[in-house]
Amino acid sequence: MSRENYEKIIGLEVHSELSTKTKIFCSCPTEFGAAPNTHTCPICMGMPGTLPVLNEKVVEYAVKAGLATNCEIARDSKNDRKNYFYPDLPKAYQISQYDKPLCEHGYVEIETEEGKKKIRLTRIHIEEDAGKLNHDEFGGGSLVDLNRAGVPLIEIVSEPDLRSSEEVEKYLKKLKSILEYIEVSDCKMQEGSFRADVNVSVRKKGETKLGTRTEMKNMNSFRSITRAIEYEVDRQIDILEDGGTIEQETLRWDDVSGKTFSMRDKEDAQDYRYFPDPDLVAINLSEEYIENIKNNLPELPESRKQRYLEEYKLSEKDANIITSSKYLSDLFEEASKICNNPKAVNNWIISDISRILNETEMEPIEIPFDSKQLGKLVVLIDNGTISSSIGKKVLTELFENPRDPEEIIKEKGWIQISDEGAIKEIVLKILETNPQSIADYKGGKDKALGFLVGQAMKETKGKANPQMLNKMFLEELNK
Amino acid sequence: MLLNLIAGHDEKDTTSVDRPKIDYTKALKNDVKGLKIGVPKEFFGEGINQEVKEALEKSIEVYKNLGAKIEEFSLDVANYALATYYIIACAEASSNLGRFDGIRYTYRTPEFKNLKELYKKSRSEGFGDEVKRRIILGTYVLSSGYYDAYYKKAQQVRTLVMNEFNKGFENYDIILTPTSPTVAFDIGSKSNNPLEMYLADICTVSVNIAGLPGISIPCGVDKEGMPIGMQLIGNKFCEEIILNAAYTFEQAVKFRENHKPEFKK
Ligand SMILES: [Zn+2]
Repeated sequence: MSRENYEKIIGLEVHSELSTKTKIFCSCPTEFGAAPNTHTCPICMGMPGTLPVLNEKVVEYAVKAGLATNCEIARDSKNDRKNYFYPDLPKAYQISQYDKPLCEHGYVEIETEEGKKKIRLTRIHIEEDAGKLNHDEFGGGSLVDLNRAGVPLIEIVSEPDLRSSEEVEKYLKKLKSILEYIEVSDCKMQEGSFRADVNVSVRKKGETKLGTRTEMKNMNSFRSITRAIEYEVDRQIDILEDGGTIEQETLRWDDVSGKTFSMRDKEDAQDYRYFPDPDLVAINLSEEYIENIKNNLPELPESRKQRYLEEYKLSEKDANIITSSKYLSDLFEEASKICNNPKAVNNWIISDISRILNETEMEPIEIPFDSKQLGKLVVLIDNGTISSSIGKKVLTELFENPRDPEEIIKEKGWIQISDEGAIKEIVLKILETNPQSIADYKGGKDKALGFLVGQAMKETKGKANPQMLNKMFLEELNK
Repeated sequence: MLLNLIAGHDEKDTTSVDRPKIDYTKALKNDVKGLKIGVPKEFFGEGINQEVKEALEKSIEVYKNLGAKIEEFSLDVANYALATYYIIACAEASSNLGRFDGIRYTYRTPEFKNLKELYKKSRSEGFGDEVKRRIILGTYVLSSGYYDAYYKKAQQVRTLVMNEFNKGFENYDIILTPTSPTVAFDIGSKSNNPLEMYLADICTVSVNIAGLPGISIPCGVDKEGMPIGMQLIGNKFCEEIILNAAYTFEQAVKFRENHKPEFKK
């Protein structure tokens, strides 16, 4: 039987670090990238005798995320302990939520080839992140860095509603953009602040029972997620086709070999001995509190997209690309305000900026220049100070060393030559050295004009105003 | 004095209650006239040492003479409270003591081949018998499949125990019981019989389970000079009442002047 006869069933557990200033149960900063163990205190190091105090912002952010994904918000919720031993977990338990998560029964809508599709969310709960193990370059051991211990996370659990790696990518991108829009997480995948556990199973088409699933932990790039799903689906189908059965197990995806490896099987399955944390009190939310958050929810990608279609007359495709990221979308709106030319800003984002992001595997949030600089660039082109081909060079410069575009072109001597006298001088010089082209043009070959303009641009390293060149060549040739 | 210092809300402990502070030294009025004291008969039944019982009865007479109103009533919680206490306390202990794993805290075994062995050996070698017993018990009652039958049930019983005490406090200001059914035993003499050892706590754990204030004061000695304790239990946040009752009793019997502490050789 061929692979087409099987259906892929995928569900995701997404962990997203919340961008609160302080950790979930103490007042240590959550900032990424500090020297090991400098953002710690007795509480997040799990010193005996310390007590956690729940950060109210964490609840607020999680409720925001729940409302933005159409969840029901629990009025009565609590924190539970998940007990297990691992060196990055100083208390030997993680404070999480078990049977009373903050948010339940939501959904996220994605666009597929067959139209809109709802991906149901089982739940969203809050928990603390664990520390990090740094494998020691000197002594062969591992060193524990607890800066990340106690950083607040939300875990977003989906139903097994996804049917392909394309859908998974769309779902993740949508989820990421929602969290960015409501400003609860910066979703930096490379820093691990947005990562997913991927559950995969297969079944023959037409069957209603779910197959045995395997779980791949802590995936943090779209590319590896797609590759891992494809690999795992093939592996499972091969086993079934050979008459075997799938083991329920936890797998580790290895990016280098492009394979999954077993981490632990069902026999090893941990009993986390969940129980309500006696050091914390129940989380009770009033209607007023939830209503208030609901009313102050920022504009979501879907409604921004609608606005772009109507207000700026962007194409559906462009509006989708720009609104997929809050950073791109903010960049678009703010730069448009500065230069009053949303069409041009749109073009820059859709073509050159997107291309550079792709080539450098950069995320929109990492764009080094700001909307003012992009707006200024468009203004400089619109008022004829520089040509659009110089504009591309300025953009490259903005990515490398962002500063005022005006400064860049002055410094580099890229200001467009729009002085009539200077242009005339160039035109005459080019005509003098290319008598053949003149003859061609007079003989009816219009292409010769393009060649002459090209030569003039080359001569001026792209700085000459192309419209003026065109005009002046025509004048001279038709004399 | 200490109570004056620790009373009140602690913003670093969200389980503490935010209430106005009271100066407990002002509570000591040396007067118990009209105080309603309930004596639960179940605490004086089976298993109680005769000498302990007699000492308590004498103390009740003291209160009567001081003008308190004493009444016997039924409060059948001790056995449930004891079981509940050991389930909840061991469950919490098994989790709380997880951090003593040889990674960051406490003893680490000198030799190990891998992480699993590091955990196993450090914890096996580092903890004493009673601690291990409680960790194993606690781990068991929290295990999947047993959680509902033990831990969850214990929490439900805990609510029942609280309700029973609440009923008692509808009629009485104070509930009077022995501190322990027997006098203190020698260290190590019951290590081989932990159940019997746990039974010694039967009178006091009810108070912890119900979340009530209690005070234990000496009220007599047995033939060998071992002290006998009396426990006064008050309603939630009624520390003033039990402190005053204890103080008044002490002033009346002058226990300390009549009994110099002796130590067994
Ligand atoms: Zn901390």
